[in-house]
Amino acid sequence: METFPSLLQQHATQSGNRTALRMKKHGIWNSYTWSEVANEVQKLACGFAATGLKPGEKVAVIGNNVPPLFFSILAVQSLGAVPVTMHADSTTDELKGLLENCEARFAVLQDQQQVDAIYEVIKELPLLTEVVYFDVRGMQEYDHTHLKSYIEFEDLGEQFAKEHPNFMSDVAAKVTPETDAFIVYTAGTSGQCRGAVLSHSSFLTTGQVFADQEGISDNEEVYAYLPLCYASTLFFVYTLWMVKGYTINCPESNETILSDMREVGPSMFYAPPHFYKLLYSQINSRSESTKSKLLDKHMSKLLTEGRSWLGDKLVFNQIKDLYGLSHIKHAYVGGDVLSEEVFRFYVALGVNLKATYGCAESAGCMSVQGSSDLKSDHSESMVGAPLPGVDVKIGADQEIMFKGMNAFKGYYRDEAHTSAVVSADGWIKTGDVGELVDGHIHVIERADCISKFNNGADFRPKQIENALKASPYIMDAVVIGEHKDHMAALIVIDAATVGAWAERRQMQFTGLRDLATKDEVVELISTKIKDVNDCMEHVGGTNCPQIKRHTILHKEFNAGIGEMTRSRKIRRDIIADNYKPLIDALFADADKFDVTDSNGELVAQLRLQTA
Amino acid sequence: MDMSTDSKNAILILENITLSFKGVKAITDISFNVYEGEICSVIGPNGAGKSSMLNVINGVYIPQEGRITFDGRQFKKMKPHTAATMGIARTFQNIALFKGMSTLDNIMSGRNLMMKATFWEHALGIGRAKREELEHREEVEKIIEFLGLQSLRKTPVASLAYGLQKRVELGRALAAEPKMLLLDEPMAGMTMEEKLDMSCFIQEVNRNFGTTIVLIEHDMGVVMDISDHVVVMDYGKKIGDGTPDEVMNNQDVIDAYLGVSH
Repeated sequence: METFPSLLQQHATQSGNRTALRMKKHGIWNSYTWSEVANEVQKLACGFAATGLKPGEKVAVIGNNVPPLFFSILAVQSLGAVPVTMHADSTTDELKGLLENCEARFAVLQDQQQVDAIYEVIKELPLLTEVVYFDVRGMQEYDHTHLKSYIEFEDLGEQFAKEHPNFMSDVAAKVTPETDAFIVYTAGTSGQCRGAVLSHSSFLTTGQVFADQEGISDNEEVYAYLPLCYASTLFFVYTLWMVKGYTINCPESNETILSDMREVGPSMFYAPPHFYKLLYSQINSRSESTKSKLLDKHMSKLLTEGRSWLGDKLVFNQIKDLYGLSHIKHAYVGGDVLSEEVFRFYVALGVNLKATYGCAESAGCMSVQGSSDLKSDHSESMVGAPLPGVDVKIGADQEIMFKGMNAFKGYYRDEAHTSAVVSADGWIKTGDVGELVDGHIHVIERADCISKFNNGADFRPKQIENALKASPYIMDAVVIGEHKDHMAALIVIDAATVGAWAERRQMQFTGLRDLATKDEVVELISTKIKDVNDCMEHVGGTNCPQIKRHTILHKEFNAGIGEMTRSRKIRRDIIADNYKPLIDALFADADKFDVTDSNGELVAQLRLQTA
Repeated sequence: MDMSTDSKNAILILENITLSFKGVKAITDISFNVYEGEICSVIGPNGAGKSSMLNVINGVYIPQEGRITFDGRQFKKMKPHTAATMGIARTFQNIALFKGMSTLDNIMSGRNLMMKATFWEHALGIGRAKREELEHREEVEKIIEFLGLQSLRKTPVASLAYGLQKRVELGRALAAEPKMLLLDEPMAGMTMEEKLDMSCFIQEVNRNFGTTIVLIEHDMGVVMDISDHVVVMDYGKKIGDGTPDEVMNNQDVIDAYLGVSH
């Protein structure tokens, strides 16, 4: 049985000259071969050992995807210690909570931003003794008692390796498949974050099974733009990397994610619905703005008649090339449900997009769509049969439950919650409501989102929100209807596509706030709301509650104040709380709502519409 | 930082500079020193002669009287080309970029003086041209990273927002690896956020590369925050010279800015 460090050694000896990792820096793609990666990891691991890291201790790893981050995770795992990955943009409070909870002894950080976030609270974290950072920019003037640069750290490691020549092989042999490999903090659309403890084997066995089933090869070019702080990215990027030994490509910066993706032309790609939605909106907005009849003709036929040979040659191959989708063999979406229209668009375009299903407790993956799921009615939310080695059943209240090779060990230092989620015979609750159709999982909704209208009908907001979000002009939507007669919707428009739309109409505007109240934009969104209402009436009959009221918000939802998770999942409770006066005004049939700042000054006057 | 000016090396010494245009005096008998490694701001109301002062320093205007000493060499008249080869780079009040060229090419043009290859070598891509291009590109890429312009490398500058164009202009000036950087109203017309970004960049250039910076600016708040040394001008004359604190407490300066009853 393998572990992450044993697989690294295997790749380094068997295919040492193959490229393992690429990152664009100073305009050039720099590569690391597997033997270079192993070498870096060894230096770092010795650096950790020299500064006193012991097996089983926790190391927080915080940053965007840069090669040193991958090396650090591998180095920590080589020592039998446990990496805890966290989001690069986490606030000081978030970091403090997580660092306290996981009892981190070391923190590995990308740059000054994270150092600043941690330095404010380092005195309150007595367990945290060493901080290592990668990027030296702006760091000269800091007190370096607890702080080391990556280079210093590697030097320490080299020194240590000279004094202890057999250290690496001795220590790596002690890591077993049952050793803890990661603590992953659950995204938490409701409630606080909890750290799921997962072993090497839960990730690697699942990875092996998944790679066999999907035919993932060692030649894949994988584009890793999503941070490694989610179980899904740890699975789809990191675990499969170690299992198959393919090449990971990291973007140069957050601003260049799209252009770098085109340069890479990945063969395998994993992203949450948000990313696919973003690309879809851009493609649509672009095809509208070019005013090309040819493009128009083929795009409008795409969803109804599918592609044609001519359409491929003239239009679709170019679109795919423009967005780096030409070489995609495996595209996966997970974490949430992608709206049906967007999903069908990619499939029609010839991108082999498949929905996957998993959670932190299941090592990021428990099932993936098969071809039969794509033909079914709910192709976007049919997430396939469980992987071999995973059992799935539907428990009380239609909750999806699983057990098997990918199961986590429990929540770190939270016995009470562990026993609330894991039953005595090992079944683990996912918190999702769903059903099994011929053994295939159909995910319906988060259990805590489902409630009822006044008339007793089921209120399932996510489906309606997804229908709204299928519009390229709507970035986010929150629908409220719990214990009401009808629904109200808060809409966040996509500043990029609506901006381009407005420019084409030669409208004058300053920004999102201004756009949100323009007559034309209000009209544009109202049309979409009407479409969704008509569609609901068509499916659910005339008794089906409708979106009667809606408004366009003057800003986007903000992950920094908890309105959504870092992976852009809506936090319904917090939004309902933050926007309570506005929601009340919507249901009270007001037609205007003044948003004021803390000083009582008018920020925006929202227009409340009735459908 | 040690604020006692005596202990520092003056990199630029201006002595009794007088500049007039057909009898209209733009600058009258001004002397001040700029010390090595400092951020020196020249401030003053509109028409005080600040931009003229900057143009005298890098040789665009030739003063009728006075002497300029830069880096130990004395000049009666400074020429723009001499200023550039001696390590003085500048940005302009009205952005002066090559609008149709990309961000990358604009910043590359800042290294023009350091390229040794001849016109024909460049045109044919032979000899030193290729090697030089690679070397200079490497330096330019460091500046692009420093200013966070990675996503705009190939974008024509004309399509960039104003604040970004200012940043590209700073990049081009930095590409010349100057000893002294002259910034003519680097923050004029910027939003608050852009101003904060720009003042961080200016401070980082000063700190990381040790570049001496002379800047003209209207925004007093920004100036007082980032400057080591402030020179105040009014009607072509110097009315204040010292640390930000000294200048803020100088009665002449307060009068010039707030007005005084006569």
